Amino acid sequence: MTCSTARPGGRSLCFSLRLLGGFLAVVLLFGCASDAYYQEVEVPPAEMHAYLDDKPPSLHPYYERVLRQGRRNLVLSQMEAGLAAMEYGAYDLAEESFETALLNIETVYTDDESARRARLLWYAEGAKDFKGEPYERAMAYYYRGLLFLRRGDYENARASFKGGQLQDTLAEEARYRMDFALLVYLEGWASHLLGDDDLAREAFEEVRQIRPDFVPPERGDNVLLLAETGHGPVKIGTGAGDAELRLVRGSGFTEQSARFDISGAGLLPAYTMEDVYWQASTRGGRQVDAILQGKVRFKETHQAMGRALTDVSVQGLLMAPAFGKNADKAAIAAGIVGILGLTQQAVAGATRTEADTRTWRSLPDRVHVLTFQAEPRALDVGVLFYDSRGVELGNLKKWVKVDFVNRRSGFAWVRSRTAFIE
Amino acid sequence: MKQREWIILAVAGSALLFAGCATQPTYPVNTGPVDTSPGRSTVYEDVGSIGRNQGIGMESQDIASMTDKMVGDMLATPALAGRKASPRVIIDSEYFKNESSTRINKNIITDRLRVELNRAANGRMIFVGRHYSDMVERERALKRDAARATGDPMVDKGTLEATRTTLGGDFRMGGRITTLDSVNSSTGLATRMHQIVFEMVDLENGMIVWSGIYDFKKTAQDDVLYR
Repeated sequence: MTCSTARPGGRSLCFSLRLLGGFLAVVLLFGCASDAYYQEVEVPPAEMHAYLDDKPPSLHPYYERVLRQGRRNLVLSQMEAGLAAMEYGAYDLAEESFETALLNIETVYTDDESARRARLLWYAEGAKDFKGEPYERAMAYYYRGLLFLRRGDYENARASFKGGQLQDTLAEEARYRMDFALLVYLEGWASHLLGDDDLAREAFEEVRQIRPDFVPPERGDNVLLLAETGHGPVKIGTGAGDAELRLVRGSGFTEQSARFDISGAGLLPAYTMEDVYWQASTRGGRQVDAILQGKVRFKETHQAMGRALTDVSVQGLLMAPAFGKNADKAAIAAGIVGILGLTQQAVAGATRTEADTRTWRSLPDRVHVLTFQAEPRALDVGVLFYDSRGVELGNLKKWVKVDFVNRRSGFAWVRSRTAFIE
Repeated sequence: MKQREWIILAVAGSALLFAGCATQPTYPVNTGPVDTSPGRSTVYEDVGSIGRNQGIGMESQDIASMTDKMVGDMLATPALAGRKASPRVIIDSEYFKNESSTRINKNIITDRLRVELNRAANGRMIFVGRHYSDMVERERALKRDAARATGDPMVDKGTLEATRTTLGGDFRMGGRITTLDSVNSSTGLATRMHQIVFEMVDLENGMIVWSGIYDFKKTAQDDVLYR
């Protein structure tokens, strides 16, 4: 297309077309540029092979992700890989994964590049290294503690459960702080196994304050059974600019409770000790929300100003011919205003306001517990799951073997839904 | 095109360039999720120095300072290091309890304590390796028990004088690690106070002949993005 200057005002039309072209280029540029910087690491095949060599093939997709998603997602990748490894029965691997996750969670980030970047206007919160929301961190301590329990290291199990409780101190409302009953209960159970009766009693009393209908384990109980049901909470970004983090209950399941079929003892109901969604959703506001809201305000202001300036520019360009011999000058002035408007809209478009919605996808919805006394010998337990009306979900029935350690304590852990996601 | 048009186009180009810069990172490409720094070669660091990765848990410098202090303290205690006959001492983690919220392999503390004390005591104490008792008993059995086929022991007596029994302990170390944690919910400031108590117990009458305490408190605040 050529710009004709044969008629009066033709030059202004030319400017208009060029500016329109510039505007389209800006739109195109922003459209193409989004999310370009969340790419995975190129891992040389030999390096990947060496890393996966000692790991079971079914866990390879999870551990591939550990390398490919790099430091930004290291904790998340290790959490998901660790839980899959735990379900698979690769306990050493699971321990390594959760230990790595916890070491990174416990590292205090000060003056960190990824954190500094995530505070900038041009980066979403998701640019930071993932440590998870408090409920996810607490659950990482929970699984690390279970792995210690299974090994018979009750002291470090207790330390893990106590560490997890500290993650639950950041809730906005005081009544929701330190109310992670599952971790308090397991701290008490570890003390119970250690013979630290006073500490166990204190912990169980604390559980009773959170769950008034809770009945502490009997003195002679030596077996702990844990059943996890459903899918954990999902994070979504809502509100202006998706800047508000909202947690919704996981979906695609109906099981709400569990019973254990124990040889000689019959069908015993498990006590629902924790609702993971509840823990996730009672967190309240986060301090980072203030930063995200600031970004939203910045974005909205620039968007509005940019839009107003481009509107003025378009009007100016349309009216330029009316200025007669000064049409060129009017068009230039309108063009400059338009460029300013586009620039402001471009800045607004580049401002990343989204909350970080990366989620530990294999977490359960609820955790149910049961303790009893048994001789330390081979023991298989049937696990039955029920919906909210108490109807048994036969397709979910599982059998689990109780592992005894130190010739005294037994432990079994089972899930209604697999930790192998995707 | 006339000069004015060129000016307009130059301004528009600048705007595009600016817009482009606003979208793309201002640092080298792809460093968003991926640390593309060239890495850092391994360096030896003094265990007593403050580490680069810090939290509020127990770290190497805490353990080094703690054991140094306890060794000096024990050697300055006449009831332990000033006896006519060198007392037999057992130092291991069997009765050293971790009631804290810090995950730790307790052996790192008791092993370091035993080794440093053994080297510094210079014969004023004799250390009994109770944690090696299985190993000792197995070898003693090999030296003494007759093999079925020949009727002779499976191995010879070695060069050391045979003893009827192994050493009994006079004193054994016990102790406890405890923590006091607090987190300020409005600022996210986390504080953990560690208290480590060491006690040497007379294995005949139960008397605590020596006690040592080491404590430290750490406070840290994570980045606002994690609070």
